[in-house]
Formats: sequence, structure tokens, C-alpha cells
Amino acid sequence: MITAPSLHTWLKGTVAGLLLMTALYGLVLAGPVYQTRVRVVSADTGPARTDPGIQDMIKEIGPVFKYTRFRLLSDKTMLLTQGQKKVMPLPGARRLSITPRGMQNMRIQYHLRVDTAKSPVFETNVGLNNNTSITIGGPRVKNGVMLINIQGRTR
Amino acid sequence: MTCHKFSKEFISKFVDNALDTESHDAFIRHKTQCPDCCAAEKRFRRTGMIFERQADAMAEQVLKNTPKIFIDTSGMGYESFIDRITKRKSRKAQAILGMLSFAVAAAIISLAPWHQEQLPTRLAVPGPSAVVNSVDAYGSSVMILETAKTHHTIIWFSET
Repeated sequence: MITAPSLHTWLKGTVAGLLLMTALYGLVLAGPVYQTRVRVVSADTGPARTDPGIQDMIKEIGPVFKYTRFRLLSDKTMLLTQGQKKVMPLPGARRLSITPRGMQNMRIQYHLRVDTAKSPVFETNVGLNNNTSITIGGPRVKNGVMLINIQGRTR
Repeated sequence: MTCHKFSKEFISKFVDNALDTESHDAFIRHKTQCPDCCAAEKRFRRTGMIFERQADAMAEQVLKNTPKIFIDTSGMGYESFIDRITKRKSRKAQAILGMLSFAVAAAIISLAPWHQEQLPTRLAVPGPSAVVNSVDAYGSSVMILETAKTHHTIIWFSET
């Protein structure tokens, strides 16, 4: 037979519940988290080949370019909160800075910037559709060009 | 007892069914003609019944005076956490159960509005994968493309 817990027990439970609720609301107030995936790819006109892990990306953008060989140089996924800046190195002594700036018109707003050691090279503000990606290309690497694919997702 | 054909031990064994078949049948044949042996047999049977009754009474008395022992077999097999708490009536365990129930309820209540608030952001809007709000290429030429099939946005710039 299940006996009803005492008043003291219910009091303890209430306190624990309130603490948990406070913690959860704290997480909510901290704002949404933006799962951001950055894939850096080297594209050139070598023997046709696409590395595993970028098949989906190359299927989308491959036909646009004259390039035949796509090699994955780096693949990084990070969780960023609004305003949190993340800097990651790129080939050729460059750096990519990425900062989510919240939601606007149902799109994740990102600030993206590419720098060399000496000066900034490229800077943009984009509104990325949830769970889609944008590709930034152009910087030279060895015999080809660099493609930076940025995918954003939020709950 | 005047008949001396069968001894008292023999009749006692007959009452106890401890004789072989031949001796057993021989006594049955004999007692039909010998009232003395028949009476002796009845006497032995009565004595046996008295002993049995006495033994039963003694056993009953012994059982009454023996403390009751119960073997809890539930602990040997599967017993749920809640069963253990309710059976043992431990205040600490009941407190944990109470707190857990409140915590779960609080979590459900807390998450419900959060999900409702976040739901619209999960939906993708039609159009290009990304809308370019501003570009600065610091003197480099910039080209913005959109693929025909998937509407994937590409920003292409050439470094000087």
C-alpha cells in the first residue's frame, strides 16, 4: 500500500522543483544556442574526386564551378550563443571569425569575416535559413581555391 | 489373552501392516475363528489411535508455542524501487520519491512554454539559403550566386 508522503516531504519536493524551474528558466533566458558547422574545402581541377563528408555540399554547389576535385581540409561543429565570436584558422595564414547575432525574419543572422595576418580580406552579414548553409569561396590555396561552407541550426 | 497361536508382537505388527502377505493372511483367517485374537487386535488398534491422538495434540501444542516465522520471497525476485519504498516506509526514500515527482512535473511545466516559443524558429522560410545583408571585400570583386535547384547561396570573392 502506498502511503502519502508527509508535509515535510512535499515541502522538500516543492523546493527542489522550484530550484529546477529556476535553472531551466535561466537556460531559456540565456538565449538560443546556434549549432554552427564550418567545413573548409579545397577545390581544384585535379582528377575527379570528392572527399567523404562533403558529398551533400558538392552536390549542391559542384555544378556551378569548373572544379573537379574537392578535398575536405577541416570540419568543425560548434555551439555558439548570440554574440559569441569564434575564430578559427584557415589555410594560407588566414582566420575566419564567425558570430551569430540572433534571429531576424526567421533567419539566423551571422557576421562572417576573413582576415590575413596583416589586414581584413572579406566581411559580410548574412541571414541564414535554419538548417541550411552558405558557401564563401575565392581565397587561393595551392593550385585551387578555398570554399568555406557554413551551416547554421537552432532549436 | 488365552490363545497362544500368535504372540502380542505378531498382532502388533499385523495392526501396523508390518507382516508379510502370507503371515498377514494367516492371521486374518485365524481371527475369524478366534474371538480372543480378534479382541486383542481391536485392543491394539485402540491403543494406536490413542497414541496418534496424543501425538497430534502434542504437535499442536508445540506449534502454538513456536514463534511464527515468515519467509519474504518478494526480495528474491524483481522488486521495483517504488515497491521497496512503500513496503519499508522509509521516510528518506519517500522524500526522494516526492522530490523526484515534483522535479519531473516542474521540468514538464518549464519546458512547455519554451518549446512553444522556439517552435517558429525551427521552420525554414522559402527563398535562398542565405540572404546577404552586407558585404565588404576591401577592394576585391564580389559575386553573389544562388544555385537553381537548391537555392544555395554562394558568395565568391577574388583576393587581390
